[in-house]
Amino acid sequence: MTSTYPDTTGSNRTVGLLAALSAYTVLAVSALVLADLPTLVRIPVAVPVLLFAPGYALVAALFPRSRRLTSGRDYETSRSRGGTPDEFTTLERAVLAVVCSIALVPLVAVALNPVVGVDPPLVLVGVAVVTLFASLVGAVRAWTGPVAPSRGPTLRERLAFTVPTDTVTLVALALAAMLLVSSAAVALTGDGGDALETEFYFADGSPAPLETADTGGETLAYDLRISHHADHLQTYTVVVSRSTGDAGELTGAAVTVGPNETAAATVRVSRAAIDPGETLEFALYVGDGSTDSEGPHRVLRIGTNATAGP
Amino acid sequence: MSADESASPWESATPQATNPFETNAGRGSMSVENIFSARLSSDWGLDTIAAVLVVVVAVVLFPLRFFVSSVFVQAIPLIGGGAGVLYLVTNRHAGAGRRSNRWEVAPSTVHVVRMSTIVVFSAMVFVATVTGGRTVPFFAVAALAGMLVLAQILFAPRTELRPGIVLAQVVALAVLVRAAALLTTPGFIGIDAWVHVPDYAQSIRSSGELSAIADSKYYSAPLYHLLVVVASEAFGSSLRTGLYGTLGLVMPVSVVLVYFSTREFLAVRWALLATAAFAGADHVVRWGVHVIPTSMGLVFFLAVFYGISKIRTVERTRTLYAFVLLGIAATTFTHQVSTFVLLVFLGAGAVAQLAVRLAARRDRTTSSVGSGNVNFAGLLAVALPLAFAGWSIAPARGEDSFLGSMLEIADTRLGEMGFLDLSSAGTVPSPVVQELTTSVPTSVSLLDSLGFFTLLLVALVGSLALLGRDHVDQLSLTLLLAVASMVFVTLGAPLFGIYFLIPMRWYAFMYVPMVVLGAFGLRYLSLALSARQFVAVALVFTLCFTGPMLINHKGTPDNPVHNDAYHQFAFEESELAAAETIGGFHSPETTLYADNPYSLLLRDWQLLTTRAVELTAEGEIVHETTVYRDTAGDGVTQARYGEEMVKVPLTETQVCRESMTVAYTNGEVKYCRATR
Repeated sequence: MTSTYPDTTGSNRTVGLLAALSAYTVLAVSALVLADLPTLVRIPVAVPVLLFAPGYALVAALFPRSRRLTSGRDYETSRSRGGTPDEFTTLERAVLAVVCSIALVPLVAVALNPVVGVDPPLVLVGVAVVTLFASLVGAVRAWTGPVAPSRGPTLRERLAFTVPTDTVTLVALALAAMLLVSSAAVALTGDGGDALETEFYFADGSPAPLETADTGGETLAYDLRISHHADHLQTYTVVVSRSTGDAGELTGAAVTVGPNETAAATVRVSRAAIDPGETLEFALYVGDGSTDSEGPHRVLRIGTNATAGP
Repeated sequence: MSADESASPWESATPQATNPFETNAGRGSMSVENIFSARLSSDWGLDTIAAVLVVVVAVVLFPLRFFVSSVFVQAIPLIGGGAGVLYLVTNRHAGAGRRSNRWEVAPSTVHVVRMSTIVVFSAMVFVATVTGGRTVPFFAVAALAGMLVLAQILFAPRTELRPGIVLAQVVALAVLVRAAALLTTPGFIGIDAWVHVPDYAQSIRSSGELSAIADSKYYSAPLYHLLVVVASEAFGSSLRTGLYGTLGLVMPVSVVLVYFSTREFLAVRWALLATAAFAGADHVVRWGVHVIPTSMGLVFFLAVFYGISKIRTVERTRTLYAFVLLGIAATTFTHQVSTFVLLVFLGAGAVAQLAVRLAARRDRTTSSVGSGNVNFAGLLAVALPLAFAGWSIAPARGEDSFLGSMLEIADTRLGEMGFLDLSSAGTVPSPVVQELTTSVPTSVSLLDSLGFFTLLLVALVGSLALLGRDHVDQLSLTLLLAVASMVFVTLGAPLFGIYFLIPMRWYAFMYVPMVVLGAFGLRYLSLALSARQFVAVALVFTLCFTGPMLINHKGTPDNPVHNDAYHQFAFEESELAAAETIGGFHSPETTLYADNPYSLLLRDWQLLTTRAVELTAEGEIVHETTVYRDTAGDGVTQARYGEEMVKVPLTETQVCRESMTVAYTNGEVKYCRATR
C-alpha cells in the first residue's frame, strides 16, 4: 500500500519512545537517589540512565526521526515523492546514544561543580533533567520535522525471523549451552585459587635489631600482625627459633584470628639466648603449630647484625 | 538485515560488475562508494608514481637494519617495498573482467561457520573460566573465533552476509576478549589506572569537589574521573565496578562506529572487515583492558571520525557539525594526548581541504568544493582554542601549565634529537649483567608485530589504490594525510629520539583511518587478483592478523603470552594485599626498591617513594629496603642498570639477601630491610 499523505506512525513511535525513556529515567533516578537499594539492583537500574537515556534523547533532539511518507519499502518510489530519508539506522542511534551518554553524564557533573560540587545524586537529577529536556526537543522536532520516505523494513520486521531448526544449528547451540553451563559450574565450584591468604609481618615493618652482646638477660619484644583473608575463624601458632645451634624453639604463641581480620601477637625473646651471627626466625603455623608436616605457613626473619657480636 | 538490501542506498553492497573498477552507479550522486571506486591507470598516474616512490624509499631505508636492531626498522622497509611492488604488479596485470565471485563459499558453509563461531565463543568463556583468565589456550581459542568471523566477512556470498549478525559477533568477541581480562584480574590492569581511579577519582569522591585534583593536569580534563565517580555512586559500588560497568562496557560497543564510518566509504563487506580488524587490533584491546582517559578519548575520537565521515552524505549537516563539536569538546575535557591526536587529524583534514580547494581553483571547477566537503578549517578553528585553553589552565609538575611544560619538553627534546637516536642506544651492560638480562628474541618480536605489519601492508596498498582513482576527494585525502602524519609520529619520530609525543598512545587512534584504508586495500586486491590469488591473500591476512594482534604484548598487559620477553602489567591478589599493608607501615620518606612495575604500583597507589631496583656491574642489588615478589622470578621484569631499564628475571636471594630482615611476608611477597 502506498500513500501520498504523511504517515504519523513513525512520529508517534518516536514520541512514545522518548516519553517512555523520560519516564524510566525519572523513576530510575528517583529510586537511585531516594531508595536504599542493594548494589545488585542499582547496577541494572542505573546502567540505562548512565549509558543510554541522555544520549538517546540528545541524538533524538539533534537528529529527529523523520516522519514516514509511506509504509512501503520501495526507497526510490518514496524518494521520488520528495521525502527526506532518516539518515540514521536504529543501531546507529543506539551506539551514538551510548557514546553521547558517557560524555553528557560527566559534563553535567562539570556544569554543577561550581554550584554544588561533585554531588552524584544531584548529577543524576541533572542527567534526568537533561534527558527530559532533550526528549521534549526531540519529540517536538520529530512531530514537526520533515516528511520522510520509508527506509526499508522496520526494527520489528528486521527482528522477525524464524528460529532455525536444522541439525547444524541445534548441535551448535547444544554445544554452546554445554560449554556455558560447564563454565558456570566451574566458576561456582572452583576454590578461587589460594583459599588461605595470610599476611604475617612486624607491626612497624622495622623490628628491633638483634643485639648479641650480653646484656644480662634482657628481653626483646616483637609486635607481630597476622592478617587472615578468609571467611572463617583460624588459629595460628607463632614459633620463634634460632637459625643455628641446638636450642631450636625459643618461644611461641597461639593466636586466633577472626574472618578477614588482623590480630596482634607479641613475643618476647631473651637476648642472652641468641648467639652472635645467628638469625631469628618467626614461623607461623596454621593450627596448633610445629607438628605441621608441611612446615611453617609463613616465615619472618631478623637478619644477622653485622656490627654486633664479640 | 542482509548485505544486499538494495532498498536502502546506505546498505547497498559492492556492485558485482564485470569491470572491477567501475563506479557503483546504484549509489547516486551523493554516494560515497564511488569515492573509493578504483580506476586502473594505464599510464603513470599518481598511484603508480607513489608506488614507485614507496619502493624507492623502502630501498633507501633498507640498510638501516645494519645499524639498528629494532624490528620495526628491519621490517617496515620490507613492508613498504612489498606493498609498492604488490600494487604495481596487480595494477599492471589487473585487466578488465578478471573479477569473479569464485572466492565466495556456499551458503551452507557460511551457516556452518556462523554456528561454529557461537560454539567457539562459548569455548572462550569455558577456557577463561577453567584456566583463570587470558591464558595461552584462551588466546588460541580467541584467535580461532577471530578467524571464523573474518572468514564469514571475506568469504560469504553477498546474500549470506548479514551485517547485523556479523556486527553482533564482532562486538561479542570484543566483549569476551576484554571481559576475560577485566573480570579475572584483581585490581586494575596497567599502571596509570592505579593513579586515575584510587587516587584522582577517589579524591573527588571523598571530597565531593573537583578541586581535589587541582594539582593534576586532569583538573581541566576530568570527564573520565567524574564518570567513574558518578557511576560508582549510582551503582553503590566500588570505583572499579563503576569504571568497568560504564567505560569498560562502552569500549567494545564503540567499535561499531567504525562500521558506520566505513559504510560512508565502502560496501558492507569491507566495512565489516574494517570493524572486525579494529576491534581485534592490539592497541584497541589495550585501551579496552587498561581503561584510562586514553580509552575514553579513543571513544570520542571514533565519534568525531564518524561525524566527519557522515557530514558529506547527510542533509542535516548543521546538527552533525554540532555533534562533531560535542565530540571535540568531550575529547578536550577528557585527555590531552587524545586531543593532540584529534588536532592532528583535523589538521590533516584542513590541509586536504586547502589542497582540494587549490586544485579545484586550478582546474577552474567548483565540483570539489561543493557542499559534500567537510569544513575542517572551521572545526580546527574551534578545536584549537578550546584545546589550548584547556592545556593552559591544566597544571603540570614544576610548571604553571601543562602547555608550558609540554613546550619546554618539546624545546629540550627537539634540541637533543638526532637521527637513529633510538632508546636502545644507552649504557652498555657489563658482561655479568648481560648474562642476567634478557632481550626480546627477534622471532618473538616479529610475531608480536606481525598483526601490525599485516595491517600496514594492506593499508599501504589501499592508500595507493586510493590515489589511483579518477578523483581524490577531500575526505580520502584526509585519511591519507592523517595516516601519514600518525605513522610519522609512531614510527618516524622515534628514529630521531622524539618520544615526548608518547607515540605508543597514537596507535589505537591511527588504526581508525588505517582499517578503512586496509579494508579498501583488500577490496582492491579482491578486484585486481584472480579468485585463487585473492583467496590466498585473504587467508594470509586472516592468519597473520588475527592471532598475532590478539597476543601482542600491548594488548595483553594482564598476561603476556611471551612472559619471558614482556613483563606483566597486572598484579595478583596477594601482591595488592602486600602493597596495601606495606603502604601502611613503610615511611614515605624512605626510598623503597622493587622490580618495575611493582615499584610503580607502590608509588602510584600507596604514594610511597619508590624506585626500580638497580643492578650493580656485578649483577647484585644492594639497597637497604626492598620488596621481592615471586612473579618477578617467574617471568621477566624490569630493573635499572645505570639510567637504562633492563629486562631481567629477579631471584629472591638477589632482592632479599640472606643477611636482610624479612619484616613482611604473605607467601608471594616479601618486604626486606638491611640489618643495621
